[in-house]
Parts: sequence; structure tokens; C-alpha cells
Amino acid sequence: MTRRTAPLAAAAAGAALACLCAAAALAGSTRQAHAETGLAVPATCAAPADGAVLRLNVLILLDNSGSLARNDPGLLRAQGAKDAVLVLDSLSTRRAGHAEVRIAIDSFNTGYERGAGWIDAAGSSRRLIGRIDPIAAIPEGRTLTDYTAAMRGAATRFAEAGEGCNLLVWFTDGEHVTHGTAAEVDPEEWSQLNELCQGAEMDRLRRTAWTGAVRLRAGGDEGGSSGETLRHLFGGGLGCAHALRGDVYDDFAPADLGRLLHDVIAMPAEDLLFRADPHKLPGEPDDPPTEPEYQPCAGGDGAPESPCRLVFGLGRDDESFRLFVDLTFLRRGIRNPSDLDLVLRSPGGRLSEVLHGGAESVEAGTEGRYRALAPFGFHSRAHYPGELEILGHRVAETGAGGATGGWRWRGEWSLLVSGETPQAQADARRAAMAVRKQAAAAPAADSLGIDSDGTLSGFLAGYPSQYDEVALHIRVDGADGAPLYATRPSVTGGPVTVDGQARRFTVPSFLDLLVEWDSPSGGGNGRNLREALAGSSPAGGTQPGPAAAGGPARAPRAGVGATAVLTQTLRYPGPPDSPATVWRRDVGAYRLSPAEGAEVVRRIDGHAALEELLGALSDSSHAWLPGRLALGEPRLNIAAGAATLWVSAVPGAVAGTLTLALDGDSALGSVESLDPLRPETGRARLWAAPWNCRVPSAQDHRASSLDGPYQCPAPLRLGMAAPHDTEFTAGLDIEVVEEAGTVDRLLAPLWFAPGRGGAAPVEARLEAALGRERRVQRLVSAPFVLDVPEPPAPVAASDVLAEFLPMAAVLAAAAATARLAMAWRLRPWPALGSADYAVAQLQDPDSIGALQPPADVERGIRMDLLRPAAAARIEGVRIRSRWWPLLLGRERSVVARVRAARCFGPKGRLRSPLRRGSRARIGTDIDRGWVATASGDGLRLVVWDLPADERSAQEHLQNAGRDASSEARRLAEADRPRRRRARRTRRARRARARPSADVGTAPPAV
Amino acid sequence: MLDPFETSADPAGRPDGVGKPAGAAFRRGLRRARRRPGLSAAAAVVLAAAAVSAGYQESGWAAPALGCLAYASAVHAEFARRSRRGPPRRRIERLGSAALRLAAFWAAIAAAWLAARGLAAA
Repeated sequence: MTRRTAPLAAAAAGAALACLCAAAALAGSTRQAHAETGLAVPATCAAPADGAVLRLNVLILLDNSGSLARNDPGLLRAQGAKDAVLVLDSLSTRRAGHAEVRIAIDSFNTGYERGAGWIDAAGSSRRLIGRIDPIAAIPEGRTLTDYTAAMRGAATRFAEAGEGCNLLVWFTDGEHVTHGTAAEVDPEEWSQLNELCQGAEMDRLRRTAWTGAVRLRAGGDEGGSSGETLRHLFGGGLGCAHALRGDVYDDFAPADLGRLLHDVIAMPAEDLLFRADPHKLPGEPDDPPTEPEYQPCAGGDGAPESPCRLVFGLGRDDESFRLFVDLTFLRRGIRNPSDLDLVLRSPGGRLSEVLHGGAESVEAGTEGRYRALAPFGFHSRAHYPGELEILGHRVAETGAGGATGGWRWRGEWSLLVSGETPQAQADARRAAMAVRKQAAAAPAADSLGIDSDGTLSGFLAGYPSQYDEVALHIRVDGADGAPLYATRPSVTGGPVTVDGQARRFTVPSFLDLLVEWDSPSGGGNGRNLREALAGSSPAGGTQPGPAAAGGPARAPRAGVGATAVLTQTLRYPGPPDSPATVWRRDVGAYRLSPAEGAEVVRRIDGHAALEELLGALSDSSHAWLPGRLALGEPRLNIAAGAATLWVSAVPGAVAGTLTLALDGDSALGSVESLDPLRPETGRARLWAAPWNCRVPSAQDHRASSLDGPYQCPAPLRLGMAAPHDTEFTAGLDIEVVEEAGTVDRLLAPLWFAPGRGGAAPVEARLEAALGRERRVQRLVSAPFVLDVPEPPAPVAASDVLAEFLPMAAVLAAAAATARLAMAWRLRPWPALGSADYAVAQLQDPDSIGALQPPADVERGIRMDLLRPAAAARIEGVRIRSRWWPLLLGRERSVVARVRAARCFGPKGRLRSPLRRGSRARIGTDIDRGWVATASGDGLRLVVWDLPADERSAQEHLQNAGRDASSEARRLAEADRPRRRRARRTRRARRARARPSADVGTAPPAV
Repeated sequence: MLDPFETSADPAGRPDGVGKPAGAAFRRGLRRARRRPGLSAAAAVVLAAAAVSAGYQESGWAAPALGCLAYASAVHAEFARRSRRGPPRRRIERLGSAALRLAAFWAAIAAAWLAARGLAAA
């Protein structure tokens, strides 16, 4: 694998540096570097953990055996070591924070000699450069070149350095000599090497270190040193059991030593740092490309008019790319990369600015940092002049990263390399390029929608997990697709969390969030959302829709949509003020349904009402309950002893209730007597009927087109009682409270943003505000006088009786008079139809049939019988109508009276112990009547109302006689017991009288 | 010239009451009314009510006076009933008349009491 086509300037020991430069000029035409093992440096190092600092231990091992006097007469090893220290110092300074580089410089010949180290590379040049020459100096006497001592010493040295990537930069003339000469390796030396290769030191070096061996051979191979043993340690020839990993660099001109060392140190270090670089493109491998991945420059001769071209293509699926440009001396033999001009050309032929082989970046002190590549918005960086990277992302096509238009992403891109001088043109033709492209599927929001509880959810397909900073935002757009707020890209304020493997994202209470976001308290203006839902233009016209951009004006559509916007942030370690590149993509949209829009409008209204309520609550001067209560002039009703008072109040924000506070039957107000003679007012009372009044809210009061205070529909009614003229002043306690259910009615239409405590705090504040205004207010009326007559004194029963008795007497008298008058008027009997009467003398009761007129019967006429009368006299019989039975409500009673004789009538006789004579009962009338008078020689019968017809008269007379006879017998029968009693009474009386006479004459008893 | 005392049919065909002595119809009606117990009973009821009302209104002696009239009317109804010619009427008439008198009497008493109370209070 070793190429020895280029002659190495064989400089003898002590040859001048100019000679080496001349030799280098000869060797510059071909590739000088040589890869011994083909293994890259990173393969020997473990990647540091995330966030850890890469530790790089660089051991510069100088061969200062005696043969170096011939092979390195100009002390190139010391110069190279100094260059290496400078490179490492610069590298460590640039990578501060990312890499920790330490240096040690040792030498060996017959044995291993420690020089300096381990020392931190940052700032080490001042401390180490002065010590290199003594270390590199050849000691006195004959010295050998013992590779076994060198390798074991290096292994020990690295073991002392601890963890990290180990890099061994080994300067030697390329032969292990302990017994013989450099011209020939004897068996003993091969045995030593084999023993070394099988030892643990070599194994450890192989596992932990990358070795770059620089073979110094200014004297060429004339001394017999072919570097055979050196290559043996790297696995050349028969091969070493534990061959070193790394390369042997022996094919270069002395003048290129600095460049070579630069590459030897920088390339492995940069490769290691690239792997630890946190700013790779999404999906980009950690390790840089390997040698086979580079493609050489093609086409053109490197002249400016025909530059060499490196072509690559970008497709639709390509999301980003990194272009590695290899301009190293070690691999490409490019001596002056800074002389190269590199231009990137887009598919449309647009050219980028000129890159000078990365030299500008290095010289500007921004090594390793990205710089914007105009006009594409790409970035370029150069760790050192030998390597250049161009980084591109399709986000630049959207104008991000300072890109300008006029180019497109898809198509064939080319990197044009050219130079002005022939040497630069030759270097341009050696340039190589490796391209890495990253592709990713476009993300999309799937199943985006709002469920029943208002949660917006969806799945993010094609989630760009390879990006470190990925954020999903929900943007609110109008129906025309324009955002409601151009400066507020996210309704959630921050990104939405995308959870789990399913990449599901949710926005709970999205409708609530929407309303809150649009409200002034949420950062909006409280109008755009409503206007978008209503179909009117957003307020201010800050976001004209597509229709407003041109063409005929049309009515804006109504509706609101939620658009999922995926934001991917790309950060490049550029200058401190370089902004991050943000890639925003709309990955899905959901348009609110009319029902959801209506719900949002309802919540907007509720939110506005809540804001209004909160503003009112914050206003200490806001009147909630009716205020400024006033009593009107009393209106008196003297007769009823009552007064009415009209109450008025200024309505408050809510409807209130005025209630008259009554404490039982307690008197209200105060009274004052106006009568100086009767100053007592204790009997004066003032009371009020229960009263309440509903006072509407101010809004309802205004809606009813009423101005001024509200007057209660019913007046206060007062009752008064006073013994005399009294002045009253009513003091009325009016309780003012809100109407029942007011708080609930106020809270019902409100909408509360989630997470703000809900209605409870507002309810508490509202209760407190209402509680402050609840009160019992005393209203004092104007004085009024009531002329109340004295109440009637209780009437005594005796007084009533005194009044009643005369009336009762009069009434009784009148009643009696009426009854008496009625009896008196009813007393006369009706007139008879005949004035004839007859008087018959009967010897016995049965002799009536034998009466013969005129001897036995005398006839007569009484004309007064033809008139109604109450008394009449017929042949000594006085007939009279009694009135007092009529007074008692009975029928008329007609009786006949005969002096000095007993008599009886059709109804018998009438006895009276108080009256003398005998009376006969005639009946209720006198028609067809008769009276029988008992005399010593028989009965004397007086019959009246005799018909004019004689026969009828005779018949009437006989009937009367018969009736009188039967009545006489009946009376006799009735009188028989009485007569017997009378006889017994007479006998007993005589018997009592007789003994009394005997008692007076009888002798006294002895 | 027509005879003003002519009671036979008027040759001129004048209706009754025309050209007759003044007040004859009234007297005839009065006699007829005096014989009708129903009118007196109705008058007794009205007068009794008036008496009670007057008693309530504390109208003094007007109440017992009206009561007296009411009772007198009831008695007159009884008088008219008894004075009526013809066969005796039903027993209910007698009982009704008695009840009427009793009611009129107590109404008069009540009216008198009310009036007396008003007078005493005054």
C-alpha cells in the first residue's frame, strides 16, 4: 500500500532548510500522504457521552537517536513538534467547551525519556515551544533506536493520561536498531519487535491510540533504513500481532512538513470533534465521510473560466445536505487551499458568493463556526483551510436564514472550484467532495378535530423526531386562511405537547382557550374572533385575506379554523448574534362547525359579560342595589285614620327588593300632641301594614322608557290611632336587599376561562359587593297631623237598658193596643137574617112538642139583631160578645146572662165565682142560638133567629127545645155529684153546729 | 146635562171612573186592600226589616216606631184574615199569621235594642 513514487529530498544531517524546500517542490506534484492502515481516527475512540467533553491526549514522541543526525539534520522533528503544539493550542482554544486537549512531548533513543506533559494544550505554546529543542536534541554518545522502549513508554504515558482519545504523533527516521545497523535488521531485533507486538503495551496502544508516524528521511534510504520495522509495527510485511492503528507518512517534501503535521493533527481531531458536534443536520451520521465517499472534481481545468465542477443533485424528498470539500494536503496533496475559489451554483444557475478554501473563516477567527452563504441561506464552515463544509436545508427555500429568492431547491447543484495561478488550478483539480443528504417524510396532522368536551386532538404523522427542537403550535385562521392575529402564531402560547409513540397531541378545552386567547386579557382585542365567526372583516384590517389583495371585493366568509403548525428550529454554531433558523409548516387544519362557532360566540358573550361584571366589581362607586330611597308627601285619610306614603328609589345594577321592617306590633315613628290641654300621647299609636316593593334594575328601568327614580307601585300604608289631634312623624326602616336569585342570574350567562378558578371567586366578590350594599335604611316622613275623633267609650248595659226599656214599653203598649183594637173590632157578631125571637115556657124538657102558641110561646121582634153588634137584650136575657178571647187569639165567645135565674145555652153554662147570676154559653156567633132559664116551674126557653117561614120557625123552636132538654139533663147529671157534695157539706156543717150547742149544756165531768 | 149621581150605565158610553166622584176609586181600592192580608203581611216584613236597619243605624226612636208599625201590620194581616167572609181557610194561614206576628214583634224588639244601644253610646 505504500507509494514511493515521489523522491524524498535526501538531506544529510545538518542540511539547510532550503534544501528541504527544494526537495519538497519536487514532491509537490503528486499526492504525498500515505494511509498505512486506512482506519480513521474516530474508530479508535469512543464517542463521549451526551454533553461530555471530548478529551484528546496528544503525545508527541521525538526520535533523538543518533541516526537522526543524518536523517533530520535540520531538526524538522523539533520544528514539526512546535507546529503541532501551535496547531493543538489553536485547536484547543477554538474548541474550548467541546474538547479538552492535553499535550505531552517525549523522546526516545536507546530508552524512553520523558520531556514535558501532560499539559493543557490551550495556551501551551508559550510553555512548550522553548522546551522542544532540548527534548529533540541528540544526546552525546552512541545511541540506538529502540522501538520497544518507545512503544512501551508511549503506552505508559497514555495510561497515565487517563480516559480520552489518544493521538500519538511519532517522529522517527523509521528503523528499530539495537544491535546492528540501520541498513539491516538482524534476527535479534526482529525477535524484539515480535515480542513487542505480542505485548500488552502494543495491545493497549492499538486499542486506545491512533498513531501518526512521520518518517524523517532527509538522507533518503541510502543508509539502509527502509522503514521496514516501522511499517511492521503498523501491520506491514509479516504483520504485527497488535499492529498500531494509524498511518505512516513518509512521502512528503520537507517543505510540506508543516502542512503535513497540520493535517496529521487537525484531521483526526476534527473528525473526533465532528462526531461530538451537537449541531448536525437531522438524521446526519456522526462520523465524517470516509475516503471512498469523496468524489473528485471533474470537468474544467480549474481556471476561472472553466472551473472544476463537483456536481450533486437534490430531490423533492431531500430535506437537507452537508457538503464535505476535501482540500487537505494529506489526502489530496493540495498545498494552498486558500488560493482556491469555490462557488456554489443552483439549478437555476444562480451563484453563491465566493469561498476561498475556508481561509477566510479561519483567518477571521471564526474557525469551526457556520457562516451564512448568500444568497441561498445555506451555511459554510471551515475548521482549517484543508476542510470545508457547506450545509444546506430546504427551509432556506422559504426565505428563512437570510435567503433570497430566485433559486430552487430541486435540481442539479454544482460546486465550482477554480484558481488564478497554475498551482491553484492544479490544487483545484485535486479537490474532492462528499455529499450527504437527509430525507424525511413531510409531517401531517391526522384526525384533527374537536370532540364533545371541546378538546382539540389529532395525530402527527411523520413526526420529525430527528430534530432536537420541534414544536407544534395551533394557529387560528379565518375562513380565508389568514391568521386572526398575524403576530400571535399560537393559540396556546407555547408549543403543544406531542405524546408517545402515537404522536398524539391534545389541546384541552380548546373552545375556552380560543375565547380566552381572543379576549383583551388574553392578548387579543376581543373582536377578531367574533368578526371572523360572523363573517365580517377582522378589525383593523391588519391581515387582509387573499380576496383583499386584488380582484373584485367579495363578502368575507364566516368561520374559524385551527391550523396545526409544525416548527422545527435549526441552530448552527455561527457568530454569537446569528439567529436560529426556524422552519414552520402547516401540517393540518380543522374548521369549526357552525355549532362550535355558535358555542364560541356564546362564550365570547359570556366572557364579555364577565369582563363587564369584573369591571363593575372593581369599581367601588358602582351601585348594585337601589339607592337614594325617598318618601313622598303623606296623603291622609282622616276618616279611616290612615296615611299613604309613596316610596321612590334610584334603581341599581340589579333588581332589588325594598321591604318594610316590622318588629311585631311596635309603633313606628313618633307622635306629638297638638292639643295643649291634653298633652298625653301615650294612647297615640302608629302602625304600618306589611309592605314590599320590587325595584327593577337600572337597565330594565331604562328599557321601560322611564326617567328619574323608580316609584314603587304600592304605597306604604300607615294606620294611626290618637285620642285627639296629633302630629305624627313616621320613621320607617326599609330593608334593601337584592332580589332572590340575583347572583345566580348574574352568573348564569358568564363564561369563565379554564384554570382561573371558575365562578367561585367571582361569586364571592359579587356576594361581598352585594353584602356591602344590603342595609336597613330609616326613612323619616314629613310631619303630618291626623284629626282622629276620640274612640267611643264602651257602653254600659244599664245605659242600653235604660234606653231600651221605654222603647220596649212603647212597643209593648203599641202591640197590646193593636191586639186590643183588633179584638175590639172583631168582637161584634155578624148581623142575623131574622129579627124574630120566641120565648117558650117548658114544664119539662120533653114538653116542647106540646107547645102551643100563643099560650105557651110568645113571639117578638128585636130589630137590633139585624145589625152586627156585641151586645143585645132579649126578654131579660143579655147577650154579649166577649172580646178578650179574641185578644188571646181565640175565636169570638158569645155568652148570655140572666139575672136571678140559672141559665144555660147551646154550649152549656158558664160559672164564675166572682160574678153573680148565671151565664150561658151561646158559641162564637148568635145565629140559631137559644138560652134556657131554669125557674121553679120549669124551663124558660128564649130562641131567636127564627126563620120567616113558620114551619121552619116551629122546627127551629122544637130543635132548640130538644137541645135544651138534653142539655138540661146533661147539666143535671153533671151537677149531681156536686149536689151530693153540697148536701154532705151541709149535713156536716149542721152536725158541727149541733155538738157545739150540746157542749155548752153538758155537765162537767166529775 | 148628565146626572152626576147616575150610577147606571152611562148612555154616552163613558168608562167607569170617568166623570165619577173624585176619590171613589181610591176608597174602593183602599177597602179592597184592607181586606187583603197578604199586603199587610208584606208590609209587616218590609217594616220589620226597616226597623232592624234603623236600629243598626242608631236612628233613635225611628227603629221602635217602625217596629211598631211592622207589628201593627202583622196584626192587621190577622184582622184582615179574620174579617174575610167565606169559609174558614187552611190552618197554615193561621200558623203563618201567628209566626208573622211573632217575627214582627221580635224584630221590633231587636230594632229597639239596637236603637237603644246607639242612643246609649251617643
